[in-house]
Amino acid sequence: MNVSTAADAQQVENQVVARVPCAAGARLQFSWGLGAELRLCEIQHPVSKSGGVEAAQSNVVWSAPSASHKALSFAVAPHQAKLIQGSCGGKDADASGLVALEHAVWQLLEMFYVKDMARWLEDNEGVICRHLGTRSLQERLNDAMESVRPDVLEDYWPCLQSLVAVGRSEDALSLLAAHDAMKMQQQCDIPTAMLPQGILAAAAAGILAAAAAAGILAAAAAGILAAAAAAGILATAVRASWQQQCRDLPTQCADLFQGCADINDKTATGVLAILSVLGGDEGHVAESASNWLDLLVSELVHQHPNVKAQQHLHSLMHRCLQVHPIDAEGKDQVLELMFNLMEAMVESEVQRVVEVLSSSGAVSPFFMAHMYELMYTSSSNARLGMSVSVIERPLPLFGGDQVEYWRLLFAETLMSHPSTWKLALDYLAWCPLHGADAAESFLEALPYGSENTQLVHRALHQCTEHNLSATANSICRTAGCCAWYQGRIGEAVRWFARARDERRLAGALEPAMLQIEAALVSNVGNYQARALTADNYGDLATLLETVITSSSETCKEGSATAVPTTASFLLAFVKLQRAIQGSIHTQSDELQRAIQGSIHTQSDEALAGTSDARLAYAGVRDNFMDLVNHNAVPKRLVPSLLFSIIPFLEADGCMPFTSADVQSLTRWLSSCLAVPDPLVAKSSVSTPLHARHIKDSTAVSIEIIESRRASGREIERSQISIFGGCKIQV
Amino acid sequence: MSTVKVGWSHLPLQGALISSQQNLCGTRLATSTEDDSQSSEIQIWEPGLGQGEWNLLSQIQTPDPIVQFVWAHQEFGFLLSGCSSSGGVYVWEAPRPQDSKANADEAAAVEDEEMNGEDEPEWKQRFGMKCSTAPISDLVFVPRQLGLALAVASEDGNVCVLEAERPMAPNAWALQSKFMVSSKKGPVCLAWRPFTPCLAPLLVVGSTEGAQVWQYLPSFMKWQKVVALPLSSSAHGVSSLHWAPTLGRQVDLLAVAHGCFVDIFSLAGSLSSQDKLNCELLASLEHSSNVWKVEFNMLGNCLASATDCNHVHLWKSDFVGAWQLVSVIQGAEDAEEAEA
Repeated sequence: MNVSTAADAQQVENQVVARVPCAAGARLQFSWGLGAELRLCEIQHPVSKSGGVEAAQSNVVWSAPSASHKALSFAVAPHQAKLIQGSCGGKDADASGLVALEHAVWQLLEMFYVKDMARWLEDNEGVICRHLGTRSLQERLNDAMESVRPDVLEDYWPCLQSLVAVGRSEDALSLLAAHDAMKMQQQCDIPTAMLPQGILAAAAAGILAAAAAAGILAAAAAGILAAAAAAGILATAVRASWQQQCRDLPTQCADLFQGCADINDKTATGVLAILSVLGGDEGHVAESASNWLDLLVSELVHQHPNVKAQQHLHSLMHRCLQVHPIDAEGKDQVLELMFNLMEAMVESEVQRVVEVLSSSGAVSPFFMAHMYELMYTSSSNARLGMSVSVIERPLPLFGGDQVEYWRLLFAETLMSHPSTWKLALDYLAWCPLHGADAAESFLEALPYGSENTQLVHRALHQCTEHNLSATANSICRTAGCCAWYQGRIGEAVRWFARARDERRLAGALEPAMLQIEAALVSNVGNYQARALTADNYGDLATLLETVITSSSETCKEGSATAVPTTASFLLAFVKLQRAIQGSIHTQSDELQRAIQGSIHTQSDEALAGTSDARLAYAGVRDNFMDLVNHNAVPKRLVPSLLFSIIPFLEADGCMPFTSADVQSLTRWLSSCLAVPDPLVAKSSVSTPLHARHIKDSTAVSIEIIESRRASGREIERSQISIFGGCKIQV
Repeated sequence: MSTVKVGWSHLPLQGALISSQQNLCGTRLATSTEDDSQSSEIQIWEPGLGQGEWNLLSQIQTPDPIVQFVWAHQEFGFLLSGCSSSGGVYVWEAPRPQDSKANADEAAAVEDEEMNGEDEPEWKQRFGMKCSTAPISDLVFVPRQLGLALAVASEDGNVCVLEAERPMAPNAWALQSKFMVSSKKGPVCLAWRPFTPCLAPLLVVGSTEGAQVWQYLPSFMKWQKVVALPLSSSAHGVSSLHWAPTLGRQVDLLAVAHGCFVDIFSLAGSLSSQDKLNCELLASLEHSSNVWKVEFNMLGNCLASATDCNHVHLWKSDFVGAWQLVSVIQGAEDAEEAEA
């Protein structure tokens, strides 16, 4: 068992990252939000009863990605995807993907490759100096170059010496060219008195330019990784000879130096210092460096151009640290971080590199999530010799490897922001062990409000992309609920149907069912054909048709989804009501025509006998039989529904229902009444009135059916007793 | 924690705030207050347009002060449950479409009455029952995949599981099961194991007698104790516990708060009759004062613990599985002045 403690007040104080309002003695209630977010609220202490008055609700979000991190992540994501796809197929990553990745995370790349130490320092010394609170070499150079007479500045020669020391020969040449004597010499207008200065400056510039042209300094500056390339015997010999010349020059031109010193001592001393640095003089190299990092680069450039990382750099770093120690208590933390990091890198301790970075707090989760790609790259580089097997090991408790650990952490920071939630899903998709589950939890927690249908559609698209069908169903259910609470029943029905959730679909359609039930109840005792509330369901019918069609198609595709029974019933019912409405219109139209044509007044039966009426009645019959055959009618509605059709059963002149239909209706009624409807007791209209309506409608329905059966002479007498029994039961 | 953003707003409440809970997606906030006249109310809030601003949606009188809230998963709609110290369990729901219609009809009938513009339908209590004669100390919805059901723990040591008869009809709940987890009286706390297909529901229960994992046996329709968690100390009863989201882990993680300690357990193995669950105490996290709430984040990689001295500690496990305090959020009276 591992024991960690937060009991030490000072330790806790040091770890405080945020302060939120909360009265003394109260409690700070919290709950997790999406990603790296905590929601807090002051509540009254249940025992002391203190606090909770004028309480504040607070929100703390941490590790929020900066705008540049977000931009970088969006840029990197496609390449990262390519890289991961590439690595899935084999260990060799796609080169173009790598190049793009390197471009995006250039800073990271240069830290790990250290392929050009001097160049790396040139690019990043500004950042380091900002942390140290000192002026960078570039700032010093800019100040000198902006001056009318840079050579008279106190910092001119020290700056020049530092530039030469760290291998910035181009910048050193520019600064040297800005010397007054050099300018005059170029214009062939140099006074005799200044001639020694001009000659010395020109000589120094010539040596520097020659070294730059011969690639001596550049090869040296390439440092650790390029060292092997520069370590040819020939290159070493040329370099040694050139350095010797630099060392010999002051002796060979002693008079010139003396002459210059008599006129301008600073120039003579400055040129001497530059030549000493170029000649690899330890004292002058150390003098030109302001910290161990500068010194390390200077040493690499001028003294140890052939150093190899694992063999020599470690001891060289420690020697530089001895010359320029780190004040860990002060502002030198960045130098300490660099030292620890480089030490781990040169020793190829991948795990130590990760630990140094993760514990430093200096790098973001973005950095941590991406640096492993570079580690993999450097592992393929034999010269660095890093072994990445350690980062591929599953972590205890977590299960996945370190790469997944940091990717998950970075995805977590992206989750808290509406603009980056899709990006968070991309990163989760690259987490092989935890990604799918995490994506599921995250997607289900997004705020799918009624006004946020765009988010719903986007999330569903993501579910399809990432193959999260169960999550998609949950999102549809959520969207359906939101729509339903807003009173948009049709939209709710559509979402529930898409989620294949029949129970919620039935719940959403419950208001419509209740309306139908109430209409059927109120119709009991009415013996005239009339449509029940059909006009109210025009749009619903269209929607239901879509729902049922899509459900049927899903069934055909092999999904275990049944056509929702409630929707089926409602659709069939609406169709029936429309057919009834149609038949009533037909009747009234024919009656109208009869009156207009001064034809003899005809009875209803005679009118029904006309062809239009026959068709309309047949439509009613077809729809009703459809309803019966669908087996979707709630049992409690069977008697009243049957009652509503009585006028058509009695329409003898038309006879829309055949004897077979009547038999079928008989069977249907008996089967429905034989089994008690479990929903009857729970139905919101299961009132005494409802009970009475069932009794009445059952009795009348039975009577009518009996009469039709008798007239058809096809029903056995014995079955009638069934209805009698049912009547008693009801 | 390279960057930290903090925001807050004061809720315009009458009386003292007893409990508050935001839903997971952050679109609703429930609060419960009690004023000097012992009148209890709950308030439902939605985010306002301003940063950190909350607008009052609904205010409902309650018979007893609600000491704890829990929101149902949003796929069940806007559903809030709460419990009281008198043993009551309640369920409130956002206005339904029928309510809006009824309100509209009512408004039409009294159209000559004053036009106050406050015709927004209110949240309604859909269900309420006295679950126990003892105070209810914890309630929690089951994982959404298992349906709409609530586990309720009372201080007499009983746990009840209430199940809604139908989704979208939170007015009818049935007692699905009831079992005793502790013979001693005292606060009982609960946490469900996140859903895993083909695995029976598991519940971890904390009481004055320690923490136990219980399993539901569908074939017998009863709950049975599976394993007792070996706490690092038995001096204090369990005040809070939480089951970490499982994600793709090989082992489950549980956090149990007791006294000043939070114990982290791993749970592995099979639930079949032949094998036993293998429970291991991984870490014991010591705090400077009593811990009253613990909760893992959505990914289960960070644990937050709230103490009686207004600190919320954030703990993370490192690469070797050791738990480290990574950050602290401090509640302070002078936080606003310091910010200003």
